[in-house]
Amino acid sequence: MGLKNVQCSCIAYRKNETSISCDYGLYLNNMSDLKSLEHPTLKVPYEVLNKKFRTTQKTLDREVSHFQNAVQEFERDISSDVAMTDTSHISSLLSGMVEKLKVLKRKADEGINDELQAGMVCKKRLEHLKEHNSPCEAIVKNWRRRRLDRMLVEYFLRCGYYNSANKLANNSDLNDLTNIDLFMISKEVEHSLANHETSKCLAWCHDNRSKLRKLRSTMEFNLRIQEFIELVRQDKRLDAVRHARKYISTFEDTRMDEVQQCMVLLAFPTDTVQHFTEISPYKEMFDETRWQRLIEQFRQENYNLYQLSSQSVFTVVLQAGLSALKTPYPFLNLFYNLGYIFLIKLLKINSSEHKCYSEIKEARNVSCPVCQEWFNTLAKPLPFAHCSQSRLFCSISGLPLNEHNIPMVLPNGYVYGEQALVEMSNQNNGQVICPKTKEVYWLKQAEKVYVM
Amino acid sequence: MKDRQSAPGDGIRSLKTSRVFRIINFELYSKPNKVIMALGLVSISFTFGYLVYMRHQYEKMGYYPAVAEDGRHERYFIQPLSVYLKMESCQAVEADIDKLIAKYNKYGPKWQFQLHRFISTLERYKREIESQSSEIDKCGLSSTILQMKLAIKDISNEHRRWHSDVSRVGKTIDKNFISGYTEASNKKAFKTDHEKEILNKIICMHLYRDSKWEVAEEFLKEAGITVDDKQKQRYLNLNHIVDSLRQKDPMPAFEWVYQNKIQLDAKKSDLEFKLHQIVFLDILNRGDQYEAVVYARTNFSRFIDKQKEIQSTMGMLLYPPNVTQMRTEVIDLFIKDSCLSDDDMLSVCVNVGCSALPALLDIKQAICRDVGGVWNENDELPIKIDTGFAYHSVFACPILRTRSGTSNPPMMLVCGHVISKDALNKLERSGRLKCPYCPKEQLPSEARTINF
Repeated sequence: MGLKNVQCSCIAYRKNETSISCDYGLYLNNMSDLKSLEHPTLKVPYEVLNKKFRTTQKTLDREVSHFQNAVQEFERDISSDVAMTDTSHISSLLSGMVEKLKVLKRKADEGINDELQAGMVCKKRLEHLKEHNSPCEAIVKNWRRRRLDRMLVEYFLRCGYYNSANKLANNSDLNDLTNIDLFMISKEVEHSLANHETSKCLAWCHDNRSKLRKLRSTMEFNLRIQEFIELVRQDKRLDAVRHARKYISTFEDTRMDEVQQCMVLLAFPTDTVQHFTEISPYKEMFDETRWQRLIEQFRQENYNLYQLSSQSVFTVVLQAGLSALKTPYPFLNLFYNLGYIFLIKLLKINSSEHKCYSEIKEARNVSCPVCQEWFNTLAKPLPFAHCSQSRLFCSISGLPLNEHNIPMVLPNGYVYGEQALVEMSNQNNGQVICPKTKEVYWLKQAEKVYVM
Repeated sequence: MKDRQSAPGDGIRSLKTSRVFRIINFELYSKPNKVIMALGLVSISFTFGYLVYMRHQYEKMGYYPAVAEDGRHERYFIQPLSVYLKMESCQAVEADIDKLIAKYNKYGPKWQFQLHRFISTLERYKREIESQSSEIDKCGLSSTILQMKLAIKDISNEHRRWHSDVSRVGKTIDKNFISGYTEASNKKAFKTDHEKEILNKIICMHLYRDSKWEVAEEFLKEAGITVDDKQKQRYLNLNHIVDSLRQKDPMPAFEWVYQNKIQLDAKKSDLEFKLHQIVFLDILNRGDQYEAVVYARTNFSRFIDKQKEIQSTMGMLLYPPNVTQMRTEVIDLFIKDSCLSDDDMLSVCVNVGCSALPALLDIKQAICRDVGGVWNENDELPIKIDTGFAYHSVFACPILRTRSGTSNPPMMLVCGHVISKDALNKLERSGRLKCPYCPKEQLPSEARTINF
């Protein structure tokens, strides 16, 4: 009951919004899809900007302190009279300071430019998003097409189809509007992980250390363990111990169990490793799929780092769209058609559902997406659209059934619009042919149907 | 009391009353006092004026009642919510970004200039020291260097101060855009390999249709899928035809029409006539009226049933029409007849999904506490989504307000009213059934199943 109330009030809420004025409703609609879909579009360049800001700050601080050290040295020397007589010493000090200033100048220039560029990317995307509100129909249409392209690019990137993503982005001029750079970096790391190299991924961990720590990432730990395992595999035990001392020991307070587990590996000679690896926790450690899991983990961590969600916008939106368009009829019509009702009792419903497409062409609507074979397969597990009010169409003419086009039922139980039936009977001497069952009736036999 | 004589005009004062009544209703017994009346008038008009003013101010703020997002109680939103949102989402972020960019633009060159000056000053000092080697302005030098030290420290401090601006951008983005759209997605959908393959095929077809050949080919290669060559060829052909139609070359279109004559005739398409018409108009536009008439004679004679249109076409000999508009009409007709519908299925689905998703997210927030997800077991979305597309009749029972389905088909009563089977079972009383809309009574078995 509570649920129903909420539903009602939500609908009331929407109604309120639209009833204010048509324009407002339009804008609101437009805005709300921007609001819920475009977060990553803006957030990623922001994270880039933030990162650049931090690095610039770091370099600036470093260079400034270098310069200040030089200044201090100079002040110390100039206060002692000994150095004052030595002009060459002073000039060398000065030239040192000039050098430091030059470095500072270059670094500041680079840093500020980097930040500015990151900011400009953000601004460019905003400009693009604002086009969405344009009153001009054509611009909005074009915007939507580009949005689809953007989503596709993102989908490609997430699936690992990097070349296609690049091509599509170039083709539609979307390089600044999609997060292609981000994925290109991750592509390299993934590639190196697939080749059983850890260096690139470790560098990535180092780059984003503070953020990863905030997210409580286990990425680095897992990488180190993997390195350790590889060393044991190659029977370089001494190196393995050294490695473990250097890197793994820092994790002792949080992940003692795993550390112990992997140290056990040291205790067995190589030839028994084969037998040994039959035992459950150790078998997995030597498994090649561990690398695959590392790649997966890396992807997830990378998404988390930039607050990307785990699924691509494209699939989520497609699901929502299919669901909203899905009516029971493309799925159900088969049961009523061709006397299938009897067949269903004999066959399993699933097996007959597949026949839907080949045998019941009449039930399909050419322009309905969910009726297309491929979309239909995708839509099968999704929920139907919510419907609390009848929406009826004449399946002959496609016109809505209402008081101007009264629905009429033929003796076989199929309902069509009055206009279509009258037109058909005019051509056939007062007879109508049901397009679905091919039965022939007189127009007089059709009865009016009242649907509230 | 009796002895008091009442004078005319005394009114209520002449009546016999108790003292309590006189005290409570003292205003009835007091004599009119002009000063007090004037004061009262002034104060009451002031009070009313103030009320009107307050009301006016309130209205100007434009509150309107709405249900809060959690669906529990009414809240008053500011009416220009939509305008506000429109501004807020993009423009708030943009304002922050602009502020930051302005700072970069201001300080970047400024620092460069400052550093450049410092460098040249130091170099000048250095030269002086090296050349003169006699007298050094020790004080001047050290004070200049001290100044530099402060100024340079200021640079890094200033840059650090921008941190708040940078992080404000992030906060505004978070505030104005919703980050987690995954909540409204179905975790189970699109996970199997089969579904993924189909999805990729759909995307590939979309790319072909969008005439992005290179991207599509690359995608095919990367995703490792194969598409029917026939379909591919079809899109290639159709796109080619449309392109040539745009370039005033109707020949490929005519060829296509001859090839598919049977289907077109079945559809009663007047594509062929329209194509002839456009050729005729092209000839006419060239100014070659004689040839145009010859063309009309040879080609229009076959379309006897289209007299009206031929009349108006020949009338264009007198009144030159807008050919470009006619051309786009023909192209549209061609696209429609060749099933190369203009907005393809994928974009329809995605656009519908984009408008549906915010609503789903909203409802998610409202009901997740009770139900645990938008995609619950009900196999139906929790709210109605107005997609703007309706392809199939959907019957919703007017009594129970539920969608009809296989187990719950629409039933027509003897009087012609339609209700669902479930409702019919519920309305049955001791073997009799009264129509809920009219006085008619019947047996439940007399109701007929109907199909839309």
